[in-house]
Amino acid sequence: MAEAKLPPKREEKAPPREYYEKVSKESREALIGAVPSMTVGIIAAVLLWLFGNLIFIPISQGIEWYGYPLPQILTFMILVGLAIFVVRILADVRRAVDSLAGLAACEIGAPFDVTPAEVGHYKTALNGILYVVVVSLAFLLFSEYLARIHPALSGVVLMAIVAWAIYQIWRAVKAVSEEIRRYSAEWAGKALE
Amino acid sequence: MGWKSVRVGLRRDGVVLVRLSIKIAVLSAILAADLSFFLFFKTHFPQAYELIFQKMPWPDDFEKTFAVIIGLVTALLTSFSMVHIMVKHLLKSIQRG
Repeated sequence: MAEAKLPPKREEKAPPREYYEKVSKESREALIGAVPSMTVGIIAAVLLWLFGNLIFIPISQGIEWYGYPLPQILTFMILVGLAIFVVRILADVRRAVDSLAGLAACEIGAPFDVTPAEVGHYKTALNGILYVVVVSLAFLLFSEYLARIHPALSGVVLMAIVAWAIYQIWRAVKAVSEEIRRYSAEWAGKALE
Repeated sequence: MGWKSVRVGLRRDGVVLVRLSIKIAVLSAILAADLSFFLFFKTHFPQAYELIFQKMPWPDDFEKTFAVIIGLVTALLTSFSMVHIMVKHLLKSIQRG
C-alpha cells in the first residue's frame, strides 16, 4: 500500500511577534485615518451629483455661453469634479483595504502567525472585491453625464468596466484559493502526523 | 485631575462647540440663500429673477452663466465644508472617547 504523502511544510518562516503587532497597530491607525476621509469624499461626490443633476443643469437649460450650451459646459465641469472625488475615494479605499487586509490576516490566522504573503493575499482579494463595488457605484454617478456627452460613451465605459471587473474577481478568487490551499495543506499535515 | 482643570476642560469644550455651531450656522445660511435664489426665485418669481439679470449692464446669457457656475461652486463649497467640519469633530470626539 502506498504511503500517504505529507503535504510540503510551510517554507516561509513565521515572522516574530513584533511583525504581528506592527501589522495590527499600523492597520488600525491607517483605518482610523482612511474612513473619515472616504466618508467626506463620498458625501461630496453625492452632493455634487445631486446639486448638478437636480438644480443647476435644469436651471441652465436654454442659456448659451458664446454659442456653447451651458448644460454641456456644466456637465463637463461636474464630470471633472466627480472624477477628482472618485480618484480620492479610490485612494482612500486602497488605504482602508490595505489596513483591513492586515487586520483580517491578524484576526483570521493563528495568533502571532502572520506572513507577508498572507497579508498580500488578503489585500489582493479585498482590493479586487471592493474596487469592483466602488467602480460600479462610481459608474452610476457618471453614466448619465457620459450619455449626455455621447449616447454610446456610457455603453463603451460599461463594457470596459465589466471586462476589468471579471479580471479583478478572478484575481480575488485566485488569492483566496491560495489561502484555502495553504490552510488545508497545514491541517492535512497536522492530521497525518 | 482636579475640579478646576475639569471645569476649564468643560469650558474649552463648550467654546469649541459654540464656535462649531456658529460656523455650521453661517455655512447653512449661505447654502440656503444660494439654493433659494435659484430654486425659489426661478420657480415662484421668474419675473423678479429675470429682472435682476436685466438690470445689470452685461448680456443676460453671460451673467446667467456666471451666476449658475458661481451658484454651483458656492453650494458645493459650503456643503463640503459643513461635512468636513462635522466629520472632523466626530473623529476628534471618538478619539477622545
